[in-house]
Amino acid sequence: MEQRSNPAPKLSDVFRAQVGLLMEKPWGKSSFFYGIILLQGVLSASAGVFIGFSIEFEAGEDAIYSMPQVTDLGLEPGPAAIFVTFLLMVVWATAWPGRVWRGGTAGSTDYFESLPVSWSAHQLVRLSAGGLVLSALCLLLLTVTTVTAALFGHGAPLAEFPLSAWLCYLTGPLLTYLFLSAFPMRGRRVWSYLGIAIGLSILSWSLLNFAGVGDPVNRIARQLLVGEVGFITALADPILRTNLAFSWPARPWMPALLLWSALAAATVAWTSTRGRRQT
Amino acid sequence: MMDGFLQSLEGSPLAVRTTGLSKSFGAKKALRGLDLAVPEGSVYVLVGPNGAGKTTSLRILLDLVKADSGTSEVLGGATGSEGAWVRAQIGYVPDIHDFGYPELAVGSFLRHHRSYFPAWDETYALRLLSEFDISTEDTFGTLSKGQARRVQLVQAMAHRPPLLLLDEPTDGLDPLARDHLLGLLADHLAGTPTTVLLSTHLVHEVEGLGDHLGVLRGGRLVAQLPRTTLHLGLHHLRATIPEGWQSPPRLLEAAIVCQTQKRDISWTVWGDSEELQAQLSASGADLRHWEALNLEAATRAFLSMKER
Repeated sequence: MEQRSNPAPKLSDVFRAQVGLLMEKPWGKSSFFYGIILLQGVLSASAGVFIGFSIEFEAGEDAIYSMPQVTDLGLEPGPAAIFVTFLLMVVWATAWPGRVWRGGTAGSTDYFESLPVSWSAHQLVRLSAGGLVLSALCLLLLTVTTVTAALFGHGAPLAEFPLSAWLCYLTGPLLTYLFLSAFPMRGRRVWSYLGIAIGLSILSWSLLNFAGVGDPVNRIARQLLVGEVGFITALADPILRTNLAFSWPARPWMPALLLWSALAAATVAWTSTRGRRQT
Repeated sequence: MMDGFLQSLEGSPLAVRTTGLSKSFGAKKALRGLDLAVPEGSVYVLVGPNGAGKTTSLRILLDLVKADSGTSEVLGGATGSEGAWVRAQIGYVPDIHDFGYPELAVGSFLRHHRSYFPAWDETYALRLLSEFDISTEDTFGTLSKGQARRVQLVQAMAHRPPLLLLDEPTDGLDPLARDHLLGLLADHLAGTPTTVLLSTHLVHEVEGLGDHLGVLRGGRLVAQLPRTTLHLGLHHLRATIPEGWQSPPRLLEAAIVCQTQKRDISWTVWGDSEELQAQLSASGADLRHWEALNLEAATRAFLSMKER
């Protein structure tokens, strides 16, 4: 028999294939997913602009509880929109490894490892492709938020953000994604390569901090934590919950925030769980 | 020649060669010194019961699993150090057909897959899909097991690899689907020079396809030989013996399986058939039946023989 030899693929082709796979529309031919992403951008921007944590309500005869206000957090409505968007991006980044690695099932692992690329190069290409698509989605979200905030007349503070600060908004989700990718890749040879990727990311982050652009981001992260803890504590208290349900004044941002939460939850569910076979 | 039915097949160029492959998963030994030799251009049927080590052998060839000891080569390339090149030469159909993307359309999947194989023949892929009656619009989640198997076969064959590794390709298929799939595989082999290493525990399903047989039992190869040699050397015979009959020594040596029912004895023997027939007649036994074995009967005999 004449001996033939088939060529191996170029890594650039593999990278494109991986990006293509991640950009494949889920749920068949529907563009519903992209609609949801854009809607989330608009809603998070609206929630940020209109966010009205200026709530005071009576929990008893002598007690008045107050939720943190946007201004209490040191944010104007424009930056607050970015603040909410940042939260959404971190949620996406948390769920994204599930989409990239598809849960590491026996079938998908076997399939990807049987392809004609060196195992470590393939893992790095998949990691990079996932990072690129996530950054593109985050950029899309930031753009929608910024445009929405500007349309409501709150674009001026955003114009003062330095470019490096915008960069931080992208590296934050990217870092989250890189760290969490270690879990589906756990126990494999990728640890050494992931270590390099994480090391480089931390180095970049430190350089940005050193340049003085990390402070606003760190401040936002701290404020985010304080605001979230306060909100969760209120929800955990039955008396406060009752008061919230009956006393919270209806505000324009409430439906948007609730819808945003539902959409974020749907995104997490979609990316972190595998679809079930229909037959 | 290591033994009559355990041949090294060193005389012909080999597409796959393993030497002393061993692999354990915890306390379970999956492979114990496997010396596999698959000649180029052959259809090598690797058979054995569940858990015999068939899938592990194939996975080592793809470098999906690292062997504890031993070496393995595919088309002259070491499966470990030259894994990427080796995998470019292989079309692989795994025993699992769910690869984790139920929402993906068949067409999208094949577009993704072809990026990894520069030799991909798109016209051939579309023709195969059409013959398998699979639409590119179908999503994996809606495919039956048989349909998913066909898509796997398309992805394995459309880049016309020099070597096809098929792990239980007919498992779970109805008889019609199985015949269709094997028919298309035979057509592919007629049009594209390919070596096939096919693992199965359902030998009768690939009876017409295989020209070499390897039998695995407990992680060890107990038989490996070309089909022609098998037909010449392995026979089943049945005879009625007189009272006080003594078996000729040559027959005792040649018998790998022996069953007795009163005065009827049947043997599965390995050796020169004319010599054995003559010795049996000379011993006073009345030879009733003598036949060459097909792959399935041969497999059954090799699996039930005592270890030598």
